[in-house]
Amino acid sequence: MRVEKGMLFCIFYICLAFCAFAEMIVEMHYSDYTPFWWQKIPFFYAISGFLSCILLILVAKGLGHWLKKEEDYWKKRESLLKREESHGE
Amino acid sequence: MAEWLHPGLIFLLGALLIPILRGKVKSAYLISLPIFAFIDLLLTTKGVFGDIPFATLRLKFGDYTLIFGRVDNLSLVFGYIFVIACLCMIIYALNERKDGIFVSAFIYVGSAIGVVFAGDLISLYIFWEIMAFSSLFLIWYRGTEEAHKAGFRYILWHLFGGCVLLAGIIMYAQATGSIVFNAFTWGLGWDYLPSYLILLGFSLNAAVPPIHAWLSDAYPEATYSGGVFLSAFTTKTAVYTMLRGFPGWHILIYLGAMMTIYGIIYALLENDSRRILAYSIINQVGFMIAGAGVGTPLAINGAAAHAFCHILYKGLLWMSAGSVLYMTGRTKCTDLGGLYKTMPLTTAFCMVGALSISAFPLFSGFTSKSMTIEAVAEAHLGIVWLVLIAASAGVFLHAGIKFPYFVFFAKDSGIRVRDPPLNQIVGMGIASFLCIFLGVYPVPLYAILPYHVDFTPYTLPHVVETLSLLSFSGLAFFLCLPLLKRTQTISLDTDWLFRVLGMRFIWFCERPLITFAEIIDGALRKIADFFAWFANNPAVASRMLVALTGAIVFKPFNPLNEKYKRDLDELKRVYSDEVVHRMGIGTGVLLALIFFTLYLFIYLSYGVLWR
Repeated sequence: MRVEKGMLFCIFYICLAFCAFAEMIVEMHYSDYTPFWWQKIPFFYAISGFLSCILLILVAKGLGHWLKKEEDYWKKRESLLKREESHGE
Repeated sequence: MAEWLHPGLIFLLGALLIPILRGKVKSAYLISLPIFAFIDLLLTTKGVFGDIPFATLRLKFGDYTLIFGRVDNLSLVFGYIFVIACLCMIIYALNERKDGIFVSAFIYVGSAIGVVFAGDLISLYIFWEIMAFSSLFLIWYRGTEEAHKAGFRYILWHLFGGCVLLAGIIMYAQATGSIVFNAFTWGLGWDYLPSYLILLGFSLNAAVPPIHAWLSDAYPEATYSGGVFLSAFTTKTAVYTMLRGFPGWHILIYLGAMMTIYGIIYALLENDSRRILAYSIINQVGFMIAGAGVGTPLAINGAAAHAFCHILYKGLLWMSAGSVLYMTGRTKCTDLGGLYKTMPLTTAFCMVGALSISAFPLFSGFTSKSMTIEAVAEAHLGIVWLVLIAASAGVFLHAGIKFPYFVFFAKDSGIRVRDPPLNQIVGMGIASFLCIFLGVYPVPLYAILPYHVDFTPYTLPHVVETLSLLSFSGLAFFLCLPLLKRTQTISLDTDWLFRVLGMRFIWFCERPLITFAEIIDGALRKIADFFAWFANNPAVASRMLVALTGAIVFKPFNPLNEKYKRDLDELKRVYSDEVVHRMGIGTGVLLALIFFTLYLFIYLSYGVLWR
């Protein structure tokens, strides 16, 4: 199993390198209709994919500190409400 | 030329027969209905029923005309995908034991088709509400307490949205005198309030934050197949109505862009696999709403094509999650993992869905979502384009990798269940086939889009750029894997405010408000009791009151008052059985006699003395 995993990652890294290389070549040879100036930056899509994912994960992690609660959060609140009612009566 | 048969009618009326049938006949009938509807749509496109849009299928409604058969390219795209998706989904759902689920599902699909072909706002509203109620049962049939409560919250949200929509429609009809459903003109000011309200009503069904929480709250609580149906229809009819009613409204561009990011953030936080998919719906619909906002032919084509492909691959993802639920009884990522060993087919279909949603080349997302992004680029909306590119990377992150990884791979949970029954495999198989087919050969899809398609997805730059974007997103995922550990948590969403306010409101009604009501009630009862006591023996009671007032008034002068003593004596006597002072029966008779005499006098003199 471990050998397989290591091999998978090897293939993955090769694909990454290939993609980056291909992107560089394509950017050089295809001066397509690029409405934005930043599309001409080399490795733009690779960097933007990587950076935006990192950013999204970090933002999610940050917001998670406030937003994540235990699974029975709502159950506890509802039973708290019921207990308040029964105390009143 | 025959009368046009509304495809929605096939489902709505067909649903009624389901409870009578049993066994294989029922299964055959269930599968045949979408097939009939598909043939109906094919004939419609071929012009068998006449030139579309149809002049038939109108109904008079007061001063207005209801149009049930507004068929044009935009409606047909959505009509087709609804029917095709329904076929895959109903084959998938054949394991459900309760007939009510099939009936609800077909009414849901039928009313969704009704919305799509509605030419006026009132018939749209009728079908809109039928959709809300029929979809509710797909949640309630799960039977758990969570589903019960989530269903109530779901219908409350939708009733609110329906009321807002109806208010907008009524105001619009008042202001313009017409109920025809066409594009609304953009403007700022009170005059445009009806269109704002209608937009709000549509936005609720499209799950635009902050009024989206019903989707992530209720969809994961549905039955294993109910979730599949739910994922497709409510949100996509809302997308259709946005494309029809609000194309080019720029606010939608920004709302859509926001939605794409919002869905990703919450999907990354979630533990429940079906809730991840629910937030994924919000993310994907964001692309479509942004496309509707741009409003150019390419953008509308993109949004419609994206909706078409999205229903298929999102349905496929929900089907794989539903199969996991069906076979293991679990949905939480913390409870799952390592399923690829024993559920290889489900894993494979899930991967097809995951690659499609990520817009991987050779899959359907690549040929459709890219149109919207291209349209945004053509409109020179730089920041929005960057947001959508980031969101495309993020889609791969949460739906392309996170969902399949934690459910089927990752740490082995020890569950060893087999692949689901054949019908579920077939349902998923058809959807997968279509996802790959439309990715490799999108020509049939492009042919039915509203505008002429001048877009080639398979250009070398586009393929390389997409592969680059996705592979580096994958790298980011595996590097940040320690940060994305599964936790047994829920995430609070915007409905937190409403749920807490709702609980506080109920507490307020049940405690302070009821106490207040009881005080008032008690006071009024005391007054009524006083009158009852008084009427018991008015003569004595009035004497007593006089004596009492006298005692109170004269108390300062004479503490031991006679009147006070007499008062007490009479009090005792009144409350014994013997009543001391009574007016004779004659008094009563006399009073009655006087009354009748007066009445007779008035009756006889009416018309003579006065009129």
